[in-house]
Amino acid sequence: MSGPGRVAVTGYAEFVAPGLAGASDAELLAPVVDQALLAAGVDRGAVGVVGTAGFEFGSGVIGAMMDVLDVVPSWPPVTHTHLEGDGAFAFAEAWLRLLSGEAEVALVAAFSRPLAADLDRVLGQQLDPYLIGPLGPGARHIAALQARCLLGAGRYTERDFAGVVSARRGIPVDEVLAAPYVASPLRGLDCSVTDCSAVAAAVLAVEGPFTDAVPRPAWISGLDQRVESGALGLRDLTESASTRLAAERLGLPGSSIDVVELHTPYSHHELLLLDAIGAGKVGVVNRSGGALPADPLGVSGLLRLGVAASAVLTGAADRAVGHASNGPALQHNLLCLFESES
Amino acid sequence: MTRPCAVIGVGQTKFAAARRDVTLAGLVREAGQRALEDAELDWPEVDAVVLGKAPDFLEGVMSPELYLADALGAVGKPVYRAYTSGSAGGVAASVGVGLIRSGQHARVLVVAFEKQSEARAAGATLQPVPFEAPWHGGTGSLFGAVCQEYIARYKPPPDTGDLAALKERQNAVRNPYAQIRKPGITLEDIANSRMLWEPIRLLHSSPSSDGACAVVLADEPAARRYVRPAWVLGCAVRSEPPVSPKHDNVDPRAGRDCAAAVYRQAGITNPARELDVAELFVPYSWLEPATLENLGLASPGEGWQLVARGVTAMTGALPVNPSGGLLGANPIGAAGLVRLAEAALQVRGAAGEHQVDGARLALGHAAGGFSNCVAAWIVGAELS
Repeated sequence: MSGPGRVAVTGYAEFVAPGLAGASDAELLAPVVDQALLAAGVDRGAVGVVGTAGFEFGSGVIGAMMDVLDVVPSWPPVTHTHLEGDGAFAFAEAWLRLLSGEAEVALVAAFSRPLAADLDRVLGQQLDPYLIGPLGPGARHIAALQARCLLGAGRYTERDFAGVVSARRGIPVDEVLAAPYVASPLRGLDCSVTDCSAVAAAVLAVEGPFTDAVPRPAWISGLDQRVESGALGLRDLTESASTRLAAERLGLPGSSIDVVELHTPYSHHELLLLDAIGAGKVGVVNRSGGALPADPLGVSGLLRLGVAASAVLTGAADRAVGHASNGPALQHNLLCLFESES
Repeated sequence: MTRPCAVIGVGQTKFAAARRDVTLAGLVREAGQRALEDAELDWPEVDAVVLGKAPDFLEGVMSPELYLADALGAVGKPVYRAYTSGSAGGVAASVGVGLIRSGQHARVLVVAFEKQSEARAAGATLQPVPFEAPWHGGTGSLFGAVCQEYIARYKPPPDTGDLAALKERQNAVRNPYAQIRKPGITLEDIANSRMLWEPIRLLHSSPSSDGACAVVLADEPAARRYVRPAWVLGCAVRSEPPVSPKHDNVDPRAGRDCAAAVYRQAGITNPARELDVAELFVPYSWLEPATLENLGLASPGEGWQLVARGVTAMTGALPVNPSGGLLGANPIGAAGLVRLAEAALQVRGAAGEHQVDGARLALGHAAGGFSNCVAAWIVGAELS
């Protein structure tokens, strides 16, 4: 019972711009899809699996995903699925479908344009809709609760949080600490910038002619994702238990990683995640600047995977880890290990 | 096909217009619990969970796999979310099959739900899509137009929708989970029911439903422990752009290609003859002829003749929807998984009063959007 061989990322492209860009999701997506396919040296006709992703809470319209079928390879009909969620989770599904022998090449594309509504409050709709949601917390309030737990447990200080902000945003630590709180102990600078438009597109291929087409495929040597309880009171918010589980499954604790790209909606997430991954040696963290400067809903996780894969594709790294997250206080986490040769 | 995959457990909730006795979590738990009991497994023995449902907007719970993680027994495990419109339940099953076929997991729980009493599906689907020409119609008016096109092409007799509906509604009476059960319903009742979207009448239509469905999938070593697993012999998903000159609403290529793919995987060359039973996604009875043709179970224009001759009735050569189909209940995001699960029940000989005698090979089908997103599987009593 021999299944298909290994799977690698062979092409990747992205677009990120502040504020509202493009007349539609489809318009934003089209050129980026073309760039990713071009980078992989793949014809549209060769793509057998297509995964698109985005939150319809973003566009505010049910079925908005139907539009993007016009710009991804879709004729003759392909194995297309749309995920209401981050593109990184669609990436996981596409990887599975390739490993299942459904096709040789997959395209994963995520898109996002800023909400008309306040995203922080909209993300509150991820909470228990009967008991917690009606209390009206925004995502930021839950994150602040987690940051407060970390301070209370003596794990980190506000200066540690500010150190992350300083590294990712290029602002002196003291200047960060002088900024007012938006949800104590979080300052505005601790929170990622979500007011942006973005697209990320990745091409995945099964080992063979399509991986031979690029000099350094980014082999997926492991992918794991885990979810935690939906009840905040049942979680230890000072740990990222799901990330720790996934990291163990990928054999990351104690290992050496050249590039780690983390999806961190808040500054303290970076500290928490690095601790949970537990690598022995890490080269570069958040090579791209990470999610703090630009955290587009539904795309941010796939951007992190794409940046990690690109580091391998371009020769900047031999071993890179991409991370994606969804849910209040890092409830659901995904890790993907890319290697130049495995 | 890579590693074999089988259905070892099926669970459904009682479907109802409003399940006010349970929360969303209670609903998915009820289906999941029944599927695990059927498979004689406990929650910790599940390796990964797939959750399917139609758009998050319907109930207004964003990323419901997060809030439902505990009810789904998913804490500490991988959880996958599947959507892709009304075919969501079918797509969820295909993700589950992928988890098994790829060798990632040995036992996967697939759950799909919808709680329309806490949602506004009809209103939601009426929303204009930005940057598109306004379409001030819901699914009923869309499919009314599709049926008109079928009528224009093939001139079926006017009672076609009534006959197809009568068969579904009589079947639903034998399904204890069905929401709409009308013992003694007559052809006249259906023909005289209120016209909604010509030619679609009230009793040609599926209801608005609350409910969930779950299946437990297993790899070959895990499935061999069971007396009657339903082997997944073929599984595929196909989508195409809904608004395109190439899109044929009556006979969408996505459906044709999806069916061809599952028949090929299962080694089926004459589906109408080889299949013992089919559970098809038919939200309006008038669509049954077109669906039969689209899936290669009838030639173009022949579908209505099968309905007229009773070929798709319980006593016919190819019973379609012994469960009563969507006319019995339509919990949108779960409805596709219910079709696939019912197909599995048939080949396991576990469909109770609506069992087709001796069923060995079955088709389960789910469709969504403008019938442009299709998922299907073939299940069989034997692996090969």
